[in-house]
Amino acid sequence: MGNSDVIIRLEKVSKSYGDKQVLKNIDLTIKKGTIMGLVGKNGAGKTTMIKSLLGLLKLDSGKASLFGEDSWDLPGEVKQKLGYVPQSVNGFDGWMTVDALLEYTSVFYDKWNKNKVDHLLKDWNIDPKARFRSLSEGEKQKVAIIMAMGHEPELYIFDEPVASLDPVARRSFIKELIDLNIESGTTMLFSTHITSDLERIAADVAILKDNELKYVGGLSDLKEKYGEQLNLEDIFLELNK
Amino acid sequence: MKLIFGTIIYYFRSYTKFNIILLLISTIITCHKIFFLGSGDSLFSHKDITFSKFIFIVIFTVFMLGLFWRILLILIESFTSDILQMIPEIRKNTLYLCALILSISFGWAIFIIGAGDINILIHFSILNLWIVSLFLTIVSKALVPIYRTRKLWILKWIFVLFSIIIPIITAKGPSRHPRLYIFLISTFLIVLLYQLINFIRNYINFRTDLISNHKTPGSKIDKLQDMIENFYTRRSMKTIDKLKTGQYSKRSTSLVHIALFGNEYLFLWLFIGLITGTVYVHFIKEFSPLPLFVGIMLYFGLVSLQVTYMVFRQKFKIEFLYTSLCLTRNDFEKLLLKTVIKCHLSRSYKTLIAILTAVVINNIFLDAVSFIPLIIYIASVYLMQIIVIYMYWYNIISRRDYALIKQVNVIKYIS
Repeated sequence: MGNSDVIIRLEKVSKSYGDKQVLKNIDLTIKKGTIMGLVGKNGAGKTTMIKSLLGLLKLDSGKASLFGEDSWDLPGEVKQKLGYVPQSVNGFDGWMTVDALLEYTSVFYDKWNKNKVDHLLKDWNIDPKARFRSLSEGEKQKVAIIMAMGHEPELYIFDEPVASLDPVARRSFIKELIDLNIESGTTMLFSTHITSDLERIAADVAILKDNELKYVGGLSDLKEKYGEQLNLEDIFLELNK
Repeated sequence: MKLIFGTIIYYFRSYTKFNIILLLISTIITCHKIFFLGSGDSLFSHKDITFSKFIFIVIFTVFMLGLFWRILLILIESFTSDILQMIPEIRKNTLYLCALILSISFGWAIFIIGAGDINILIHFSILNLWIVSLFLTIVSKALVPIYRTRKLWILKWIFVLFSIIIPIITAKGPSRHPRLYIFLISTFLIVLLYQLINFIRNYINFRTDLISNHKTPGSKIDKLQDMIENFYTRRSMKTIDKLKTGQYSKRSTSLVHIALFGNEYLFLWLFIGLITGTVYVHFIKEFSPLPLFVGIMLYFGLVSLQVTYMVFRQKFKIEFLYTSLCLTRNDFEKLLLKTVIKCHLSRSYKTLIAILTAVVINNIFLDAVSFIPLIIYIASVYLMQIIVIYMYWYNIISRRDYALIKQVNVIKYIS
């Protein structure tokens, strides 16, 4: 694969908050069509890494890029190809109804797949007339995922997208991602604590520990290294001993 | 006693900065009273009004409203926090604590105001009781009912009526229609007493079942927020439709405006209106351009604070806008700056018209000549505001992180 196939690139990225170093010399390359799971303990720096990638945080040193463009100054065309679901989605003060919020989001993009959005709303039992404020945390998370999927981006970045979802919604969400990856070769990076989900979906894993990426590579290689009988959670616990 | 003491420490530790600011303000006001005013002069007396006296009236008003706000937060937290419900008799002790704070504050306020002028004292007490009633009604909307049954909806309408009348009649005093004055004040006090008794009873007994979800006439007021939000949603949808059909050329500006200012934060507007209104009624009797000048400056400051709060209260909004708008960082920052400044100015301008209308109505003796310095004052404040706001927002937005640091700092600063 050539350089043009690289969608995400982090080179010697470091980030601190005051005296506390959160990321230290992070190197990561994600190629087109990859599903990469990002695992780490609470406070390991997963969100910081994701936000640095999106240009929402200023790096102390190093370079982050998306589609070959510097993350700190992403051009509009790159943002059209990007779908981002943050950890917390308590925006818009809840005054908008779900359908209004989705209509509003659609204006941002050149293309918007309304059929898909309606299908997901129905599938995930979200009342389009409900006010965003009145939804549960899990339902809000679902709406945020739908908001990110409507314009069918080439790259998804999810920051703990399934943390508030029930098992049925989680399964459905994962199935959706797998279908997307198979049908369109969509690239995905998502952080999660639920390692069993990662095992279902991710081909590659990045493990953050002590501000550094301790492992980046295929899930099967990781299992081979630690023993086939161990699942990802066991390996993660082993790594964090 | 041990429990009350523990409750005091707990509530002092939560919102520490806010508590320290309140304590500092009260110390400054007390020093001003002791060393500058002395026992003979009341802070609220209209005789020999000076610039510094006016400033202290403003500070005093802000303090009293801040104190009520703090008490409201204590009441809400003790009722809603699951962890606090585990403490025996927490709600009873919270009410004791609030009563203690209110009593001490009222005693202190009387010392500051001075007991010499009974009319000022009555005016002050009624005005503060009105604010207590207003805050109780705010709590009752979602938390603790202040009526024993849902059928007493008529009291809600009486309260709305009194919300308009009470600040005005207490400022005017009983001189013109003493009987009507006494009747209105007494009715208001009876309604307030009724609200207070029910509030205390329902608060201690943890009664939430009286909050109506049914369509009774009384629930119409509770639905006010819903109606306003529906209005904003409809308005936003119209704009969205126009944007989709390409009728609006300013696509990005509209999208940012809807996200940041699509909805008003009603309580904050209420708070700002309260401060301005309370400061203003003190000066209805004797108009002077100086207090108005300071009042407008204060008002603009509060509008700025409110706009800042609206922008940064939900950091997801900024992140969402940045990652979704097809703009470079530079263009996004320019757009954000432009939208925020426009919002500042339009809000100040609209409310300014309302203030000026009130001035004209309430001060019929204000002749055409007095308007010239007034307009010069306002124009200069307006110009100053534009410069300060531009510098402030340029510094906040320009080349900064959107995700964490800035928002956290601003929110911390505001709260």
